[in-house]
Amino acid sequence: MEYLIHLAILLSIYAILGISLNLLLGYTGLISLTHASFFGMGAYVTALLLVHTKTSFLLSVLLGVILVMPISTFLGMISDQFNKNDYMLVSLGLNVIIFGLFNNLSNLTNGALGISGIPRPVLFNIDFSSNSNYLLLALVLLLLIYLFSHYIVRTSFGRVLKTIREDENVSKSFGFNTRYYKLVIFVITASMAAVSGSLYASYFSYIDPSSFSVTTSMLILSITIIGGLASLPGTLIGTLFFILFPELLRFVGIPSEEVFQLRQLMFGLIIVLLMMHRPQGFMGKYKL
Amino acid sequence: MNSILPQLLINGIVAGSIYTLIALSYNLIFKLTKFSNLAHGGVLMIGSYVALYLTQNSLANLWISGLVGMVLAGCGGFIIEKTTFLPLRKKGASSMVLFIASLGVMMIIQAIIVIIFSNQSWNLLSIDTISVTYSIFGGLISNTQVLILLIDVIAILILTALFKLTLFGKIVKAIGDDAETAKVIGIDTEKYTGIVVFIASSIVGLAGILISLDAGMEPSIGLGFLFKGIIASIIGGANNFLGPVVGAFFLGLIENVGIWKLRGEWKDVIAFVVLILYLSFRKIKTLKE
Amino acid sequence: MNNVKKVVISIVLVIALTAVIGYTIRNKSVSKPPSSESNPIVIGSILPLTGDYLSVYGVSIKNAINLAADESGANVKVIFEDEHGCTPADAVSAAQKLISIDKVKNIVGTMCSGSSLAILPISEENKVVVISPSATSKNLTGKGQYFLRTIASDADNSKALAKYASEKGYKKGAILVNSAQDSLVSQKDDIKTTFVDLGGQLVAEESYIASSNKDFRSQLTKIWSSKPDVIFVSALPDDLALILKQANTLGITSVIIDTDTSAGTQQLIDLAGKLSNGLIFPFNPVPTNKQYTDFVTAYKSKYGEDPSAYAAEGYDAMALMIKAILASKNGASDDVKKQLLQIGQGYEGASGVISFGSNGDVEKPINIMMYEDGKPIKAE
Repeated sequence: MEYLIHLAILLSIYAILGISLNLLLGYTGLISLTHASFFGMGAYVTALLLVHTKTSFLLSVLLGVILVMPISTFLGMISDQFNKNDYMLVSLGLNVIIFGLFNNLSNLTNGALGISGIPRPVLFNIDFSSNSNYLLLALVLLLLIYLFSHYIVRTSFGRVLKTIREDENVSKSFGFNTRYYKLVIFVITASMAAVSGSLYASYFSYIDPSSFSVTTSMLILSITIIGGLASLPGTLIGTLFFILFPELLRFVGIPSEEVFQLRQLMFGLIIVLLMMHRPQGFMGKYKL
Repeated sequence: MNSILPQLLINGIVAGSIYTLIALSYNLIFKLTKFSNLAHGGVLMIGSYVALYLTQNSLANLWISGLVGMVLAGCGGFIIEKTTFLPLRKKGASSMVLFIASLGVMMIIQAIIVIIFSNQSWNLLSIDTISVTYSIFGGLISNTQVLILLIDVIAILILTALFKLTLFGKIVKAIGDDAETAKVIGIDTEKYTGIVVFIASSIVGLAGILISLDAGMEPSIGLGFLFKGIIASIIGGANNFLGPVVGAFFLGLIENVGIWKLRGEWKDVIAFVVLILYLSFRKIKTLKE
Repeated sequence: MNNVKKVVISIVLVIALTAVIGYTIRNKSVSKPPSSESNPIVIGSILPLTGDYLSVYGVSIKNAINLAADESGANVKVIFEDEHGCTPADAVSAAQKLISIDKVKNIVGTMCSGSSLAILPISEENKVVVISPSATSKNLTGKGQYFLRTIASDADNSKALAKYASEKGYKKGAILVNSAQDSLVSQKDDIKTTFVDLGGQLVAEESYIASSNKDFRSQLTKIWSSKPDVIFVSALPDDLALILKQANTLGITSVIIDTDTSAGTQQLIDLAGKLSNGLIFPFNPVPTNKQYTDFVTAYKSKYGEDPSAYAAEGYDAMALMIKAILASKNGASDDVKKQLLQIGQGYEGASGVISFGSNGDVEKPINIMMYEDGKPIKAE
């Protein structure tokens, strides 16, 4: 039971990440590989605050978002003027740079040594050291973010995002300030990623830079694409697939050395096959 | 501190020479297929690991292994193009779809290599190979590095001759500039694309082999080298044939000389900062016009 | 819906293919418990078995653990879980699975300090005895009531090396560290502090990120320009071999001291050959020690290659764990720990003489070794 609860918490954390990227990629059409960096920022803010000060967990989440907002605004402004191809490379570059900062600014982040002993929150007199309680916390946050995203895509704001995705120039010609919309959604999704990072830090009690590298961004990208672009339920399925499948393989009895590589092989194959036959992902409604 | 500058310059030039091959070959494919092909990094590793397999099992000497590695890398890239990217392009897939597909292909190649060869790092030369160093302008360069530079220069010359001076090269340029018109004139764009992919893939395979000769190869670094090549081709100017060469040497130099003042762990950050700065300035320039 | 059907079928086929491939290449040498009516002792293990270059060590430790299990003659079943490189999150998943589903009460692992820190909350809460063969971070000292290690914490080795350098009269020291590996960074910090405290002068400090680049020449060039007497390198064997090679082509003549015990294994000699001459490194087993050589011989004859770094520590950890469980009453965790502390006093293991402190750390006699013609000798 504990094991399942653990998996459910993992699912919630990565589902939030997937949703955040889906809003950006599936609905607005921007391929961003930077979200692992915002994930990391949220994690580090929470980690540092909870370990060194008496800040409460929720406050640290808020502070994480507050930190991420101006940074993502700045980064968004740099990157959104590029065409799609360059945009993708720039976002990758930002991820590498921010990873470098996490790893090398060891006076702040402790570098590769990581930050350990991050406590679980105690809120409203409930102690979240128990995993089942933590799962509730994670699910509540996931639900809030899911509903919020669901709401965004239904409003006129969301409709404009979709027009930007289809053809930004046409959207501009209708009078929409596309740069504003792209920036706003970028900042919103970056903040979501930061929230997920805070959850991650407190749950695992230890973080280090390696969890926030380019590989993680590619994982989130894969989850979003395979689950389905512009489909929030699709993202949940995609996360389920990516997180559960390797765990299932633990039980099949294949020697562990090969399992990981076989899984990578399979993911690669699935990605290729999907691109060739169903590029919108399993439940997606939008083809790249 | 002046005394180390020559050495840093030499280090930068050697690094740049490897980036050159990656950048040139990447650009060749990019001009024709118009998408960021991550599988190119996988093809780089194919070249390297084929050569490893042959030398490790004493099936061939260094030169033959290298040659076979190049050819098989070329075949690998060609097969990938024909089975994956060409059908996708025919379906009208966008460049983003192709990019994602290339990510998948890269994952597959990397997984297969690790299953067969494990994650160890290795070098093409046996450890007993005697290394001779020469001193130039106050810096040291090893015979292996000189060899790498020579091979690099030869490759650049051959490629330049091929693509700038022959009819073949002109046709390829025409396809790159405007594929539709080329087809209308009657050029078999698919055939030429296939040939160029083969050549470019064998060149990037050569890059992989040179990396293995120089510092050493490990499955996890293939993608990183590809990114350096992509950065180099962008900052050098993708429209000029030799642009990527300039970009590559510039990148190699700035990485190595850049850590004169910074610590080595910032190397990757430097490369991407250069990219972002370049792209931003380019954008500002086009906005002004 | 035709397209979707095609995709679904392809995926089912891919999964089936994977399962078939996986089944046919399954490792046949999984540790088989000798037939016995009693229940087998179940021990869990979390190691990086795949993922990146660290998996080379993970697999070797796994082999050493299996070897120890076989040699113990007891009915032991080991469940290995992979953490895919040093990935704390995966280590936690592995620990959860081992503890809640497989119901293990004892774990040999993890290999990485970060992962060990990450699993401690769970293992402590469930009173699972954990012995790590290679997590050297001093952050782990005293962090777990049921956590022990068969490897000395970084701090001891590093201090001894800095002392050695100081006593040899090396005044100017430089550092080159893999800043992406927590244990190596920790060693570097300790060496730096001790060396400077003893009067040494730090003339250069350089770093690299192992997973992205194997070209250390510019860092070495910078270091060499300050002409240090000694260069402390904090790197694992594959990088170390490259560093030695590149330093050689740059004409560097400083004494090179590696701060990690992994330099003492055959792997380094295989990779660096003659270039290892003169390299100084810390090692806990005396390489001529009978327990160590017996272990290497047994490992080689079973697996056909030399054990990697940390394998000997894994071997000892497993052997001790089994002994302690057998000696305890019903394998209750408090009792197992008590037995470990008792048996592990002056225990002559393959990785050196093990004496657990009450906090679970070991203090091992540190040997400062030097390579000469591919053989390690005591450094004078």
